[in-house]
Amino acid sequence: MIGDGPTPLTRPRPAFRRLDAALRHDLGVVEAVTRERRLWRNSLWVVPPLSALVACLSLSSADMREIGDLGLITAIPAPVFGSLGLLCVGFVLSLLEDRLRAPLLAAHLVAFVVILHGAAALVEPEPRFATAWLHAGFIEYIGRTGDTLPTLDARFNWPGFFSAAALLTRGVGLHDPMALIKWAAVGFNLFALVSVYLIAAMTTRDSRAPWLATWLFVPANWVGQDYFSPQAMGFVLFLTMVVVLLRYFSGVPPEVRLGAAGAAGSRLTRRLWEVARAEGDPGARRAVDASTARCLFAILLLLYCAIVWSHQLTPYFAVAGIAGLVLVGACRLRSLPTLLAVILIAFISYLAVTYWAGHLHEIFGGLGRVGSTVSSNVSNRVSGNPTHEWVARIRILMTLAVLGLAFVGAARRWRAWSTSISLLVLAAAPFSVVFLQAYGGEALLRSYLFSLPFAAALMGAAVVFSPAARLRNATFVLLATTVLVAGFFVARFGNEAFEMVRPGEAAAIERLHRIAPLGSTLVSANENVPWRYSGIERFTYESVPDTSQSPQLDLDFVLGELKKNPLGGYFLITTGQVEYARITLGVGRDWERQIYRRVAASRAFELVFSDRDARVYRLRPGGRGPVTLPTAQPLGAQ
Amino acid sequence: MNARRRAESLLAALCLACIPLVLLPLPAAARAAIVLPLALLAPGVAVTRTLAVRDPVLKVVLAFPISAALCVLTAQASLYLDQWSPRAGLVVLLAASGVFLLREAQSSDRPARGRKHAAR
Repeated sequence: MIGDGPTPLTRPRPAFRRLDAALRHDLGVVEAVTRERRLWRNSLWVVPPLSALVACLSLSSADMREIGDLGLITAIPAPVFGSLGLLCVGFVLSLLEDRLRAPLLAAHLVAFVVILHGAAALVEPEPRFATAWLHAGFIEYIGRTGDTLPTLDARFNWPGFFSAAALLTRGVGLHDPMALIKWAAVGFNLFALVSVYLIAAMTTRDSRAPWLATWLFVPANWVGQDYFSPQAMGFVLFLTMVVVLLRYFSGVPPEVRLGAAGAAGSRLTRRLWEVARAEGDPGARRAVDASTARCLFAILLLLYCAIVWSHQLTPYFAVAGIAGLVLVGACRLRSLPTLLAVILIAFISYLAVTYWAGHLHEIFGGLGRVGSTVSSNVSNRVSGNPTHEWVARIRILMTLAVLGLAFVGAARRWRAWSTSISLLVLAAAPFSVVFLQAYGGEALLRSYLFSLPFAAALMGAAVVFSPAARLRNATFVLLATTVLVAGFFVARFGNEAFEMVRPGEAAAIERLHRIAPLGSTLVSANENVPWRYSGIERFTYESVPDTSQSPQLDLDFVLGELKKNPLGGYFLITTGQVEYARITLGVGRDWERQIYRRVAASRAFELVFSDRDARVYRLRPGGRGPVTLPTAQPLGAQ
Repeated sequence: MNARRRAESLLAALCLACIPLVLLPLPAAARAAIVLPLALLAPGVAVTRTLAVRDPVLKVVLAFPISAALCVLTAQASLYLDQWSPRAGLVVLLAASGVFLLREAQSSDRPARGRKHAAR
């Protein structure tokens, strides 16, 4: 050792002294470089908390009134995009380090989820999305009464999620789950991320690809089904089932079947078996003893039962995905899909009978009508005002970009003889739902969501990480993230002008619930209204259908519904409803004023509440007789 | 006492300590902050404890979904049996998890069934 060794007995010669000095100098340089590198490596730890803090503070101070037809993106302050850029650079640098640091990458992912999926929660004071408020109403009812109302709403036929939420919230003394609604999207996404990472890690040898897959999953998940809903929980449970299956029950096609396939002479079949055999290499499948396998099987059934009890569509995705795995020989539990299908049919036959009795056409009406399903899921969604049409187009482009990138990843793996047949099957299986039904125009959206984790795992394989191609790798990740994040804010929050709940609206509905006599009828201008979050059975709720909104609101419908009830009723109109009609139905800007003018001229109503974002009218006692409505005025510019 | 046993004992103690929290008339926000995360974690941890797999990541991944599924099961059972009582349901979940984890922590010195063949 130089410098630290024992004192020399003799004085060193000058040549040795020079060498000693040179070595000391070199050692000093090495130490300085090491110190610098360590400092640089540690400085990356600052990036996630710093970017999250800056973004959260900026979003909290944003003005929700600036949310326009393009949605949340118009209200997001510039520092948020700066912090996202910093976070992205930090992630890329961490991803391309020689030795990966999982905690650092995980910290980047958490910050990424909080900024992207928590953006609306930070900008808006009230929890967003009327359907989430309705779910709160279901939970409040179950929590209060210990009963369900399957005839009131079809969703009450699948009460698993609502009853569990009621158990938890009432159990700790909360009267409703409103406190949980706001941050549900962040929570569900964080839970899903862990499974996405594991699924990606189990199907590749590359240690970087799973992190990239998980990173790209965050902005690619623009569907917005992660609000406080049964499908959000079902999605997390389904991913967990897939993790267990791939980790402990993945199967390698037996040789005898490979021989049979080879005899058939199909090159494609041979290739499929070969890649299926290759995918087991990363050590995804873990050997377990019989009792543990039985426990894991019981856990699979437990998770599946919770899904079946909670949501209509998710069990179908589970059965389709697992059946696909069994068909290609990637799952050893060959009878599992049949068992899952039997459980599903048994549940529907006995416990959801209130729903399907009288609704068989809704369930089976779309069977095999692929054309109309795709049309109602894609073409019909590109509607509304010109900006909304652009939002819809960006959603389609975003979906195509994600699936295209996944295709590139699959092709790369295919060429490298390590493609994962299970990922391809799991990514494709959800789209089979288009053969069954349109699901209210949302079948493709849901299919995309359930396909996304596996598409993301394939996206992670779209780039080949190597020390020689760091610049190219970094450019790819930065570019892909920039495109997806830019698309995310428009695709995910493009409807925010009518999906957010303004404080004035919440105050008006609170007031309405207080002043309306029990049993009276409440009518809203359209279905986009955050009510029924409490006392769901106490009033008769009606909304003017979308078909009666344009070119002007059908006030006859409102009066007709109110007059049916001898207890009278109230008519509610909010800014969110006006924005909904303007953006998605394309009514003119004069639509709202026309309603107020016609309501005033009818003399059938009296204004009982008014603020910046809502008006509540009561049907006058005298107005319960026949009323002649004034003739509609011509609309303003569309 | 190794780290895993300490963690399990702590979780078990927390579960049992939360039972009076659920039953006593305390502010709902305080109860929610402590009891909700525990109710969404402990039952799943207790169930995964029975698995003879040395796979901590998987156990963490399974904890929340299993807890959520058990909550669904408990809630649905109380609805079907017409015995709806959210507090009782929550107490049953916490007590069962606490007792099970405590028993497992005490017996973890003994080789678990199937541990010899446990997966990586």
